[in-house]
Amino acid sequence: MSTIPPKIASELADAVYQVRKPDRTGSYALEINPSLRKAFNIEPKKDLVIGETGGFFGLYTKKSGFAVIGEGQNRFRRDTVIAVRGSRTDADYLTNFDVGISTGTNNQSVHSGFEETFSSMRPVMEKRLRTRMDQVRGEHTIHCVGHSLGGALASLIADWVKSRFQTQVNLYTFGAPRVGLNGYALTNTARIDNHYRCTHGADPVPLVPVWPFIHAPTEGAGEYRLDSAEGISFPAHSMGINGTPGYRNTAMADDWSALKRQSTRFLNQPVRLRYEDRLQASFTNYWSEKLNAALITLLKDAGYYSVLAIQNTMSSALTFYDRLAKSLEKIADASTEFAEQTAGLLGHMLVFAGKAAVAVTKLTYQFIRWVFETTIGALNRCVKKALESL
Amino acid sequence: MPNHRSISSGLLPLTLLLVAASYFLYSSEVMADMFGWFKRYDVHLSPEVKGRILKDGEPIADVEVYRELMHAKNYMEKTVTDSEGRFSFPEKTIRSREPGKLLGVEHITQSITADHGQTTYLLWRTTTTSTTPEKVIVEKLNHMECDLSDPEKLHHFTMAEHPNFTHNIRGICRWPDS
Repeated sequence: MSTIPPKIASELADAVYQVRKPDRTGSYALEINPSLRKAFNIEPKKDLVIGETGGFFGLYTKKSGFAVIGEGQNRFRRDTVIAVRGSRTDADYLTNFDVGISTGTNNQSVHSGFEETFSSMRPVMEKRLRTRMDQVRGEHTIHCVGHSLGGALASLIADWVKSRFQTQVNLYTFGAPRVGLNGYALTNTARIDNHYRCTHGADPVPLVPVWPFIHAPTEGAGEYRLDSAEGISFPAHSMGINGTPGYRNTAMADDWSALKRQSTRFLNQPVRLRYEDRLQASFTNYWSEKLNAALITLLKDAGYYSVLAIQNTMSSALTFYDRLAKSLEKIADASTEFAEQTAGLLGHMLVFAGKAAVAVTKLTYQFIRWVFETTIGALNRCVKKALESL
Repeated sequence: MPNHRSISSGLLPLTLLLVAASYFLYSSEVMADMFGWFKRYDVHLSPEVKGRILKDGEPIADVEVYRELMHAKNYMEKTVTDSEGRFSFPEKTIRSREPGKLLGVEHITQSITADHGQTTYLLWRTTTTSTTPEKVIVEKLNHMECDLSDPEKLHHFTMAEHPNFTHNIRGICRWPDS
C-alpha cells in the first residue's frame, strides 16, 4: 500500500486553492512543483469536480466545494489523488453556534453543512472514479487530501469512497475541523487505512465544532502536531509557504515518520475542575481540549453522558446545547459536590472566553446556556477570522 | 435642589451604560489588536513588467498585451506593443482592510496574455501567496522575451526567499536560465 509523502500531500492541499476562474486563455491556474508533477498528473481542465452551483464563478465565491482528481504516475501509477477545497458557505456554517447535524453516507451523524456540500459533489466524483477504477485493476490506493474545510470534505469523501469502491483509502488533512459525532469518528477511524491529521498548536480551526463533535482517528497517536506553538492565533491556520508557520513549511518532509505524533490528549481522561482554580485557564487549544474533557467527565460522573452523547434524534447543536444546559442544571441541583464541579467547569469556561469578571453564582439553565454560547462564540470568532484570512 | 437631584439620578444609568459600553469596546479592541484584526494590509499583486514580443525572432508591433491579477477581486489592464515589440505594466499594489473575505484569497494569480491574429498566447502565469515582492519574480517579469513561435513551457525557479520551494511559471516566455 502506498502513502504520499507529507511534502507532496501538503502541496496538493495548497495547490487546489490556485484554481479559480480561467484566465483569458480559457484555462485554469494550477502550476505545481516538479516532485508533485512527477507523482500525479493533475490537468485542471478535465479533472475538476464541481459542486452544486456548477459554474466557476459560483464556486469561488459561494456554495460549492470542489476537487481536483489526479492520476498517479511512476511509483504512484496504481494510485489516484483527490485534493479538495471547501467553500465560503461552509465557513459560515462552521462558525455558526447552531451547527446543523445530519446523517452522512455511513449512517452516522455529521455536520450538515459539510454533508450538503459533499453530496453536491458526489455524482460527478462517482463517475470520474468509476472510470478510473475500470482502468486500474488490482491493488489501488485513493488518497484524499484537504486543508481546512477541504479537510472536512476530504474526510467525508474518504469515508464514502471506502464504502463505494474496492480500494485502499488514505486521508491527509491540514488544519481540518471536526466533521461528525462520536459514531462518525469511530466508523471513520475503522474504515480509513491510513489517517494523517496534521495540526499546528495555535490553529483554532481543529478546535471546532466543540464536543459532541469528535476528531477521527479517535485513539492512539492520531494527530501530527507539526509545530510546538501554544495559544490560539488565526494565522497559524494558513496553508501556504508564506504563512506563519504555514503547513507547507512544517510538512516539508519526505517521510511521515519524521513528523511528531501526539495522542488524543484528554479525550478519555477524567478532568475535574475547581472553581477557585479558574484563573489558571487561558484562551489556548490546551484549555479548549481540557474544557471538553471536563464537560465529558462531569456528565459521566453524574450518569448523563450516554444519554446525551448517543442521540440519533439530534438535528442541531442548538438543540444539543439546550439539552445540555438543562441537564447541567439538574446535575448541579442533585448534590453540593456536583454543583461545585459544575461551577468549576463554568468558571474555567468564562476565564477561557475572556470573561473572568463574571462570577458564577446561580446555576440556572439560562446562565449555563449563556456560558456555553459565550465560550463557543469566542472560539468561533477566532475561527471565522482564520478562515477569512485564507 | 430637586432639579439637581433629578439630573443626577437620570445620569446614573446613562453613566453606567457608557462605562459598560466602553468596557466592552475597549476589551474587544484589545483583543482585535492582539490578533491584528483591524490592520490594513498592503498587498503587492505584481512588480513592474517589461518585455518584448517577437515572432520567429522578429519584434512585432501593435500586439495587445493583458495583465490579469486575481486576488479577492480581479484586476485587468491592457497595453499595446510599440514598434520594437516592447510592452510594460507598472507595479501594482492594493490596500486591503482585511486580508480577504473569500476563501482562497491567500493566493494571488498573475496571468499575462497577448492577442495576435486569432490566437491568445499565455506569456506568463503563476500563483503566489506572498503579499510582498519576491526577488525571482521581480527579475523575471522585468525581462520577458516572448517569441510567439515558442511552445508553452512550465518553468521552475528556486525561490530566493524559500529555497526549499520553486516558483512554478507557465508560458511561452524564455529567460537565459530557462
